[in-house]
Amino acid sequence: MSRSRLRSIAALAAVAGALVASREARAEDIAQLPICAPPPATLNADAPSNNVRLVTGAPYSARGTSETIITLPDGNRIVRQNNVRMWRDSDGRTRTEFSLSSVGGPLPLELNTTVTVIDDPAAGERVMLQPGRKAVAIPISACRAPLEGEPDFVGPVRAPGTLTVSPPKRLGERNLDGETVAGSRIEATIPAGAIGNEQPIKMSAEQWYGKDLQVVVEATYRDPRTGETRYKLRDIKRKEPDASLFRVPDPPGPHAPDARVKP
Amino acid sequence: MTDTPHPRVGALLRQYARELADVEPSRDLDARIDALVASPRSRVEIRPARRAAREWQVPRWATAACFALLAVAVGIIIGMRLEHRATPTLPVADVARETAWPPAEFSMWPADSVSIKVPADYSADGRLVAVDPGDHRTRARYWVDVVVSNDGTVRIEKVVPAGPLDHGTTQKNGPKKGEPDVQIQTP
Repeated sequence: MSRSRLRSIAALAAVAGALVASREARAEDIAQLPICAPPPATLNADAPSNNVRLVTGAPYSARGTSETIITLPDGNRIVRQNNVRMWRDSDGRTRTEFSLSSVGGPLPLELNTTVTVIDDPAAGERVMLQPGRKAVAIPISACRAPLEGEPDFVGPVRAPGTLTVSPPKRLGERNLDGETVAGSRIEATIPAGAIGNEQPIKMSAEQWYGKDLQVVVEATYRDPRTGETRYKLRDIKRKEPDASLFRVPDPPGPHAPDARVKP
Repeated sequence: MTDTPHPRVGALLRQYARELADVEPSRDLDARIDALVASPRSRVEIRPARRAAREWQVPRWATAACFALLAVAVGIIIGMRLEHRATPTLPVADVARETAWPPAEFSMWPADSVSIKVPADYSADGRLVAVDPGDHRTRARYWVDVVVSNDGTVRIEKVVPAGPLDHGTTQKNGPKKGEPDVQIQTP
């Protein structure tokens, strides 16, 4: 083996070592972060958790589609769709573009708007962009998702008193579009008479979580009152996204004032 | 017709002739006539002044119409204010929120959420519709807190009546036409 080749191998090994070391250092840094608070138990919490999950070393881009179908008694169907595009770089910065048409539920909301959110948890900033509007920044703090074995890894679903929710049932692992995903499912019941219903109303939620991506790749939510929502992540690309995606086009205004952001 | 008048008429005519003969013309009559003839301008000048005065006199019907218009305008303004004060709170009862699926406390797997505020109005068919602040015909009666997550869930957290200053929040850097003025909140 020639000397030059040995040198290049040594250089590569040094770079690889540095990368591994930096990744380990990053992992150690993340391990020191507080665990992301679960969704608020009370909706009127005065102090909202300001935490945004930091995931490093797992860059990707993907396109998500959430389709809600309500089937009427005469067989007619109402189909609503919301779309999301997501990017995450190795440093944990994310860009999410929500194209929202409507929100279902007991009180539907017609929206038809696009909202882009750029998160930089390490830098402690979230920026919202809307077409034709100046960027708005709000402060955030980084947190980490609970690890396997830690409490709340597959969190218990804290449901209000009216609902009876089963503990999450593990569905095992499977391969979905090249991604290893782990599934879990919960079922809930609204007891008879709770909302004027003669029979219990049964609902369910099933999620498949990408173990490497650390995002939900597929989900199904069933509620006879509001229909079935199917969410699916497509066009998953595991490569570093363009850095320009995480750049804010205009410098955002000062934190909070015109953005109705709670301190 | 007869040549000689009736005796009584004749007597009256004679009496009138005597009285006429007794009448003496006023001493300054000639002077007054001369003065009037000599100064026709003064009369001419008086006329436009009178006309001008007439032009400024508003007819009574116009005054009444103005008052009526003013009363209607004041009534509309008062009505609008009362209507706004009486903005009904939406029937987003706890039971509706508590039975929403998936619930707000849903956390099977880690997910990332964005909380936004959307100005909206309540449509006649029972839906909330996000309003376009650029359209002056619409106005935000409610702020709707929406939480969007990357696990496919989009849910309404809260609906609160908008304040009086929240109507059509068009600003210098307002959103493009047709877009609701969405605001971001802390996660």
